[in-house]
Amino acid sequence: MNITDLTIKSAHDHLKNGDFSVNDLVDATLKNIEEKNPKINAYLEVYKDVKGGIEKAESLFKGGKAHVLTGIPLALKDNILNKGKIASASSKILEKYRATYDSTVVSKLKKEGPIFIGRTNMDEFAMGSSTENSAYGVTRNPLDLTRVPGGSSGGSVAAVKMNGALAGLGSDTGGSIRQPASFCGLVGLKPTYGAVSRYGLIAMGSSLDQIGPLTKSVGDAEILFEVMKGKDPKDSTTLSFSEKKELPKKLIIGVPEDVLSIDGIQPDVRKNFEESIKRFSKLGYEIKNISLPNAHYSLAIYYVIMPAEVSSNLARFDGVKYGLHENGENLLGDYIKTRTVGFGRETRRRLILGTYVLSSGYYDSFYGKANELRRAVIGDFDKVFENRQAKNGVDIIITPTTPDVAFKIGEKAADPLSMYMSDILTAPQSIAGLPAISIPSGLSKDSLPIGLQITAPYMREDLLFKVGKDFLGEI
Amino acid sequence: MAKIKKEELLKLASLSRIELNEEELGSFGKDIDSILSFIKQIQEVSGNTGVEKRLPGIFSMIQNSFREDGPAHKPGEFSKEILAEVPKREGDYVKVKKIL
Repeated sequence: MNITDLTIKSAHDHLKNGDFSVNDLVDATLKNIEEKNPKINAYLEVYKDVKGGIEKAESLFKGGKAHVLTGIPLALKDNILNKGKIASASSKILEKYRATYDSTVVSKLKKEGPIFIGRTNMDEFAMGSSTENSAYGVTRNPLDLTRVPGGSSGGSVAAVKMNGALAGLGSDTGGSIRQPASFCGLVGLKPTYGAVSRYGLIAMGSSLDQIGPLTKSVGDAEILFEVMKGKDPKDSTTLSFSEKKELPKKLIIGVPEDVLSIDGIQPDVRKNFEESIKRFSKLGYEIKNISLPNAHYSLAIYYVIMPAEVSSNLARFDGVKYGLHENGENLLGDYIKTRTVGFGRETRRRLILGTYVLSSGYYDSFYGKANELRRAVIGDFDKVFENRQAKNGVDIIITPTTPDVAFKIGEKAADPLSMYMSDILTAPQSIAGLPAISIPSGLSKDSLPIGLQITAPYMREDLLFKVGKDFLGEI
Repeated sequence: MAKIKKEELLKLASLSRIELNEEELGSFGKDIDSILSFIKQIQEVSGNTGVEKRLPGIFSMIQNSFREDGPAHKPGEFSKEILAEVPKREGDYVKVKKIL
């Protein structure tokens, strides 16, 4: 059985019609993993107990109580807790850590009876843009094994692309869902900050982190988002969604020329973006040039705020409560030895950077300034979304997702700054807490996928789904 | 911008509760210099009230989440699973080295 062309939606219809069973679907998925995972390394672990889930899903179909997610094989990023299963954040420091509870997203999804196939590789603690920073080896791009799948959710993306799941969950702090989705030709959604609970997500940058879906279609991203979203008393940053607002008849798309003039956007990507604009015009959208004068600071702001939050969040790993323990001479020695052995290079680099920007001599000139500018970036977006009729006013904004296509394994590993640059177009939305989706928009000369990023106002994921479906011709 | 000194790097590592070996002291110094020279562009702007005021946008809508005081769960309900993750323990206690 070939599952390449199956989406969550179409697989559900086939399951309902009895064209194949949940068991057939899971079997085909596991066969693909067995064949492809040794080379691609998308999964760190394939769960041994999927059988129980299959039986439960089959009985839901028999009883006519199946949800659209029932029996659907899903991949889980290794930083999202699934009770009783290892969640290592691809770090040595959590190599044997078993989740003692379900994250809110997993417990919400479990109610609908999907099949969690396994946990997927990632950059350690989600720090990276290539999945090369994992303690458990690199993940390869299924479309070209010499290239990276992007990151940090590279394992989940590769799992879906190699037909080892119909969809996956990732987390996005500065682009970690959108960038790998773009590199592998998938759809990736970073929801509004606070739209989806982070309870049970291993924290990286708490004012930035969001969990989101990685899928083959916009409709599938919508299905997963609708189940996962909403207020959670266990995450005080979550917000409730109000009733759906009416969509304007003719939507206005903003093209931020000042963002597009950033150095490093490759000609293939730029050309493809121009074609996307034309496509939207043909579809009846109005196109407007807009200005986001402070957005180009976003990546620099991000590399102050994120490491600052990393250095506080990762202080909890001390070899005492859970995870790795290495023996030192005294208690302080235990901490230092455990963290030195347990954390990889990029993690330690960011800990140092975070400690630097928070230290008393630099706090004002780095952390203070970064927060000041963050307010300015949020203000830029607020202004364009505030009044669509205004000269600079729009309903949504489009840019390419990344300045370039998937790069070669090792190409940027020696130069952290050049690696950071691959998030230059995704950082503004993270800094502002806005929802954004990456959808496949075409291929480069070398036949590698290019992604289009669509950004909407807060809590307007519905606009992203509508525009994304229009663009891809989904019904 | 002045390059980061070796002593400064050692101090930051010690505050971060990690150790750097000789090779890392060199390469991390180089990396941090290049990252700092990129992020220092934020110092071009004036104003510096960022940390005193609350962030606008979606961040201004977030409110604290409270619950009534009282037992949140039965005593010992989660102890077994949580203690199973503790690397060094004695019975139901977490074991650490002498502090004083």
